[in-house]
Amino acid sequence: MLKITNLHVTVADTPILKGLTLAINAGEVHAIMGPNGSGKSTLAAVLAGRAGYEVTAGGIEYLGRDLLALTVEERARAGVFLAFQYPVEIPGVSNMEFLRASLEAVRSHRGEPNLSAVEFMKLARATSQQLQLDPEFLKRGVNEGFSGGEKKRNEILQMLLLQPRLAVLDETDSGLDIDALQVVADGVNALRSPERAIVMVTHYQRLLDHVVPDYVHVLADGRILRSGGRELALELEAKGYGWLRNDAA
Amino acid sequence: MAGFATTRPESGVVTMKRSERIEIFAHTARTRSESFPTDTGVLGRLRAAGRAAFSAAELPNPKTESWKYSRIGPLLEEGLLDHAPVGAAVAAMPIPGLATQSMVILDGIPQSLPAFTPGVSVTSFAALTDAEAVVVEAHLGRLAAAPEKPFVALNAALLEDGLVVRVAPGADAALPIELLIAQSDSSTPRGVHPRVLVLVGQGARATLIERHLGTAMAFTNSVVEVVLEDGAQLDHLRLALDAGHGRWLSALDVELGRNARYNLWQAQLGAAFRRNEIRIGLAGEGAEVTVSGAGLTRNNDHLDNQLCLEHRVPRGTSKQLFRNIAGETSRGILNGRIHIHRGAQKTDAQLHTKSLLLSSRAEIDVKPELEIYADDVKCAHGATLGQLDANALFYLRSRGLDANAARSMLSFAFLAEVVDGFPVDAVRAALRPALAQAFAAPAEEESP
Amino acid sequence: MSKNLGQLDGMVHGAYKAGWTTDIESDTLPPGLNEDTVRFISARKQEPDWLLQWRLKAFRHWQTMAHPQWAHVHYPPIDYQSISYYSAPRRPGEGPQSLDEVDPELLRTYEKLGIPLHERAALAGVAVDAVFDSVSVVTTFKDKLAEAGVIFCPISEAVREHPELIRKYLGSVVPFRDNFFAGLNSAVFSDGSFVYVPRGVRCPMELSTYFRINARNTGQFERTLIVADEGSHVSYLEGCTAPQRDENQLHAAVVELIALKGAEIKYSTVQNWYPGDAEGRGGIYNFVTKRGIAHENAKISWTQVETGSAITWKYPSVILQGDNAVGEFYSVALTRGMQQADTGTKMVHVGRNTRSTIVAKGISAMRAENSYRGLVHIGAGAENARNHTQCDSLLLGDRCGAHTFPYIESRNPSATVEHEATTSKVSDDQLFLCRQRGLDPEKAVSMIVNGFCKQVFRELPMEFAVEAGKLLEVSLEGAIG
Repeated sequence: MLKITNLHVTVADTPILKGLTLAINAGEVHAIMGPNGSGKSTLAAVLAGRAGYEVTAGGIEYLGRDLLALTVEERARAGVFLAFQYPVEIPGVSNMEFLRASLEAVRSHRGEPNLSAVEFMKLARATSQQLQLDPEFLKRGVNEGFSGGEKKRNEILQMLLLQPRLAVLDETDSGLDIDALQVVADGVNALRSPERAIVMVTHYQRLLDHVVPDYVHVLADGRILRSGGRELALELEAKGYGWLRNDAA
Repeated sequence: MAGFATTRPESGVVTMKRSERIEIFAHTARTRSESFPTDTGVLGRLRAAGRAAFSAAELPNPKTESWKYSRIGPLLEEGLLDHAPVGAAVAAMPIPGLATQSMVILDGIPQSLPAFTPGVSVTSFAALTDAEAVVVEAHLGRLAAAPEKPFVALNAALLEDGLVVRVAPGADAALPIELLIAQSDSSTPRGVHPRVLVLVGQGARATLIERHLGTAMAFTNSVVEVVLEDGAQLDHLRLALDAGHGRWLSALDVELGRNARYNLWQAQLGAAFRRNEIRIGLAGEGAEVTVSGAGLTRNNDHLDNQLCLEHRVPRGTSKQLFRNIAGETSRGILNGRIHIHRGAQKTDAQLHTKSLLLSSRAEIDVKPELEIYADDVKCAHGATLGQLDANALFYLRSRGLDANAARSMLSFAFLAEVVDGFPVDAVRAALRPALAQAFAAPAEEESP
Repeated sequence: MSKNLGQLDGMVHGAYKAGWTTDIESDTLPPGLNEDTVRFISARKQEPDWLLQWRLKAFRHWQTMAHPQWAHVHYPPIDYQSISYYSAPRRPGEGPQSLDEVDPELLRTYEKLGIPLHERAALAGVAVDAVFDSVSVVTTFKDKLAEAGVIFCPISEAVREHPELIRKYLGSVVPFRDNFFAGLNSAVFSDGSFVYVPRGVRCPMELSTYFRINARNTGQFERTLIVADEGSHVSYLEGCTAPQRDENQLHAAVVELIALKGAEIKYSTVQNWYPGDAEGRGGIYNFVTKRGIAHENAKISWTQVETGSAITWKYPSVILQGDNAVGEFYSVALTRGMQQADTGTKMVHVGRNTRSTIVAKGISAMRAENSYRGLVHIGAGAENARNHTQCDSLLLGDRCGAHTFPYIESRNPSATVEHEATTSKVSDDQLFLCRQRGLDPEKAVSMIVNGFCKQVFRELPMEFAVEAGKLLEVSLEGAIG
């Protein structure tokens, strides 16, 4: 589904990713771990097409297409979803309005009919309940005055509504208490399916207790330093990142 | 209707039409300026430029937007363009505990200068060598350009002499430089036109304490220009704590180079007329400005601060904070304009002002303005007019203070929010009692 | 500047959708302005002598007045002699007695604008007065309103039918000496709407006037007068459009509102006059004086959505005369292309415990200039007066300007005034979030701008709120590469 080959990315002329190669198939859940500044969030941003990230070499193929040639919204409509680490506030635009516009854009691209207002409301309500969010929350401005946990749950709400093919979760677990973490994890698990792939970018392994990955990759200094199964995360937890770096040296 | 907003009848009995008085003032000023030599030197050239600009300029009329709230009347009275012999210096000049190096402009005339610490030099315009004149004239009258500013033009046209203060590049002038612009107690009405140019060289640091002294019926039309070269820093304190009959019109024009810092602190009482026209230009990237002002007007006093922050280049910051109180029949005015020029991206400019009215015959007029031509900026202003906190008043009274004392204490605390931030200990120590005294003084009997 | 925002300029090229003209026979006065022009208009309206004399006094005074210079707008001097001061669709006799007598072409004009004038097709519960060039062509639902005692008719008709009301209130809030354009309007106003709501009556439906300038070289100088008697309530809507023409046309209206003791007037405007093209050719000069006086316990609320006109110069104001009076001003002003707007309000607090609220949202795009200018004046007798003002500017691109000129004057120590102003842009992060969720940039910007305006749209009656949102979207839409 996703093939990243020898990816080099610079931000303001500083190289961040330095030859990252990674393949992800439909149905798989990958965890990308690594110390601060290793390039994890850069990878997430490049996949979604954020401005300011320059790909200087290498490429990304997504469902057989050149992902980098697509605009931000084309990627989104093609099923790439980024759950933001720091979701931005959009004052005055209600969550409901935003979700509906987004869902319509994605569905119409897929050739699916628009939901009626009633169908949409039902879906939005049910999904917010699933995430233990008060339906009143749908009427509030997008992320406006939300707590950190609410913002993160709002990202998962959007993900569940849009049903992406490739979901990239950027530090979605940071700032969540244990109950909220469980709720978010249940949301992510609900999305697991043979057609979809999920990439979790995280600093800690605790999310992985709840969403068990098929593969774990350690990113350091802009490259995948090591890949393995679930046990790699546990090993990291026990020994820290220093161990790996020394090991590699 | 004169421009936007409500019009109200002119107060007071006017025996002559204001337009006629303005005409007489302009004519007298032009005539007087002709008696000043303009043939040679820095002084001569500055006077010539001023004289020409004054002839071409129009004095503010009731429709002049920037004079909307300032009564020009007090400046038009007889004798305020006259020359008078220098009187005796006013007493009580030093601030207790403040060590400074001082220059004095008394009744418009620069007095003899003391020795200054290394890195600091002060020279009168008349004493400048030809080589120095070249340096000085690159700046003099450039920031406070005379065209379309009639009183700046008048200052140049009627200039006796001025002073240049130079802080050498890299110098750190630890000892504050004091500038006293003083009116003697002489009872002869007069007009004086002090002029100072301050040049702070690259990376230099200095503190300038500018004080306006005197209560006599005189017109002080001062112009101060400040140039901060790249990386220079100036803490500029301006104290005007003499109310009374003085008419004070002060132009202050500042320009900052790259990464320069300019901090302006003003503590002022009103007077028969007091108006500051302050323009601060951020001309180099990364320049930083702070302005803090505390103002108190009582009786029939007038205090008008007109500020304009010109963000001309990217990445400048400016923070302005004001506290004003008006009592009796006085008037406090603040016009704080922030102008972000096209291309001045990443500017961060803020202005916050709070005002307190103590009497229903006093007036406060506030006009914070934003003029913005760049989109990637952070600009905001906030202005409030309100009352003392009722809970705090009650609290003080429950501890035995009478209502007046409680009110005075809280009002003073309101100003102290600004005053307590002043950077020189001795000034801060002197300001508190001075303001408290001005605040606590009984109201003057109103003249019929 | 990021690539994303570089495209914003390209996004705000929305075409003007009401720019067609109607080919209709009309009586149009040749250009020119002198006392005879004033006499002609007055005679054509069969006005009583007192009104003619009032107009002439206004005209003579206007001739002594200077064109105002203080607003932050720039345009070449206007030649008042090149304007035609009267244009009316030609019609037989005294004017239409019913809709059947109205020129069908004209009815189609209004239908095209989405304002059906046939009552059976009309918006439920909205009575409409349609003003075409200089005259009112039709007023709907008059009978139903009459049952409630509400008078809603062209002002020219009110002069004949209700002279006592007109004589008492015309010019009572905006005297002809008030300002240059009010003076001009008082001399040459041709028509407009008049509303009177009797004591204690809640007007049974929304009242609405649609203004349309059609003829070339004409100015439109309508005059609206609304009197809400004690304890009454009325909501009034106003919409404006004009054809697309290369030359500028002048619209200098006066609106006067009188809210007597305990009355409430809600006045909403969606102003979409032709704004001119992207280079600043053509467009309406919209120089309007709107002011209301609120007596004891009365409330006047202005809501405006200003997207049209080459130049907008208007300050819907409230004189809070009576104790406990309330004034509100909610405004969205969008400028793009070469549009210039200098708009805001004046809240003049005279009575005790008077309250005012100002919410102004300015959006500036391309090379447009958008200024908020507002006055809050607290008189010496306005014990415990309160004002809260919030001014927010949004800049779309780096070639436009957004300005804020608030005037705060207080003479009462017990008054509280709070003023806040902010400036922002559509941030790269907001745009990125929307696009990551599949929205195209154009839709994203329009959604974010709509969100920015929400506080104001909320104040509009439902039908108008929808229209305003769409108008904003249309105004922002355009090609994106």
